[in-house]
This record gives sequence, C-alpha cells and structure tokens, in this order.
Amino acid sequence: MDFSVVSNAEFAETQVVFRDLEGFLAAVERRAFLMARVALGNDNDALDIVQDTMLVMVRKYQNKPSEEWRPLFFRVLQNRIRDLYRYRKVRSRFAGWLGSPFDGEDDSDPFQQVADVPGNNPAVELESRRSMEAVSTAVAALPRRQQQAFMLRCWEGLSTADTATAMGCSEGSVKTHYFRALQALQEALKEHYHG
Amino acid sequence: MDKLEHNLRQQLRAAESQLDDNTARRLRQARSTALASSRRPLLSRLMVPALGMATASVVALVLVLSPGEPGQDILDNASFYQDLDFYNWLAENDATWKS
Repeated sequence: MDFSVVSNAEFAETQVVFRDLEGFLAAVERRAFLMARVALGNDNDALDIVQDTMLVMVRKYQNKPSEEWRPLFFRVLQNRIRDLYRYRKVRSRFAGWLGSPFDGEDDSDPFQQVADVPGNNPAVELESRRSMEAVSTAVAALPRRQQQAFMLRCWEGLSTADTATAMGCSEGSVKTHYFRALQALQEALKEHYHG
Repeated sequence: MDKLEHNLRQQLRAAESQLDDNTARRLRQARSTALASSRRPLLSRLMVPALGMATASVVALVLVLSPGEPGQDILDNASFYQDLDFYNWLAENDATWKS
C-alpha cells in the first residue's frame, strides 16, 4: 500500500491519503459495511451496498485525485442507502397491492458481526457489548439526514466541507444536522455516557 | 459534547477491528470483484443494463395491463409515474445483483 498522512485539524487526528484505490477500499470497507448495516438493519443488503459502492468507485472515480476518494466514496454509499430505502418503500407498495406482506428487514443487532473478543472480565465485556448495542440502536433511530451527518462527521471524521459534498448540501445544513444528531444521541445514551 | 463525540467515535471504530471472519472475508471478496470489474470487456458491462431495461419495460407493461380494483385506474395514479424510475432501478439492480 502506498499512502501519505495528512492532518485533520477539525478532529485533531491524522488521516491517511492513499495513492492506490485498492488500498483505499481495503481501509474503508469495514466502516462502510457497519455504517450500511446500522442504517439498513440487514447485513446482506449492507454487503451489496458496499460492493455496489466499490464498483462505482472503480468504474467512475479511480482516476480522480486520491484526496477526493473519501468524500466521493461515502457520498455514493449514502446515496445507495437512500436508494435502498426508496426501493423498499416501492416494494412494500407492491406487496400491499398483491396482498402479501413484505419483510426484507432484519431486526437483529447491527453489531452482531462483531466477534466476541476473549477477555478476562466477563462483566466488563457484557457492559461493553450492551453499550455498543445501545449506540447502534440510537444511531439507527436518528432521522436519515442526522444519521448521515453523524456517520460522516463523527464516525468517518470527514471535515464539514467534505461532509457537505458527500451529503449534497450546504456546510450550514451539515452543522445543523450534526448538532441535532449529537443532541439526540446524548439524550438516548445518557445512561451510558455521563459526560 | 466533545467527550461524547470522542467516546462514540472510539466505540464505533473499535467495532470495525472486531468484525467476524466471515463478514471480513465477504468484504474482501466484494473488493476483489469490484477491482476485477474494471478489467471486464466493455460489451459484457453494457449487457447488464440493457437486460435491466428490457426487464423494466416488461414490468411496466404488466402493471399497466393488470386488472385493478373496480373503478381504479392505475394510469391516474401519479405515484406510478413518480416511481417508474424506481421500477427501472429495481430491474437494473436485480439483474446486477444476480450477475
């Protein structure tokens, strides 16, 4: 993998800029899967979305400057998630016309693919798992635009400008959605986070 | 709020490193498939959307000709036209996923 390191002042962290698309995709695939899994509640749909996003990156954007790959990738990912939401809505309408129920959603925990990491303190591990489940539930419950802003700003660490590019909106809208998302999460998770 | 952001980010990113082997393997496979697609012949890449459009046309024709409830005229249903692009997307992505 060939990459360089740049600084993200907004989150006081360094980020890697890849010169090779394969390396970039390898670095983001797990996060993209979990984001899609939280948003869609279904691991097969999430995997399809991630692969579809990768296909778009390879076919359309691999010749773009590498510093554009991150906002482009997550914009495509979020658009695919949005498209699947609307696809499910249409299919539900079909199901209503045909008189048969459609249930393409899996209500299980989005973080069930997280392996049980062996440790020395079962009580601590149990609390950690409960906390993670609470986080995933709270994020999944956010209104879609707040969820997008949170995933891109906080989870991925995109700048406000790059998040605006990924969401297709203004920086002001990003700040509003993100602030509201944090307020909602703070309320939903007050038992787990006391800060 | 900063502490909340920090804690959430840490927790979410920790989950990435703990993904189970099966899911990790499927992600690697998805990546390989995507990278290999850039080396597929142009003609085979064009056939999938062409098949998808043909399927979408059949679906739309069936919907138009299907009998509805007494007194219901699907052509008057504005949402049908609004969703027509989704029927196309549906057919195209069904063809893509199956391939």
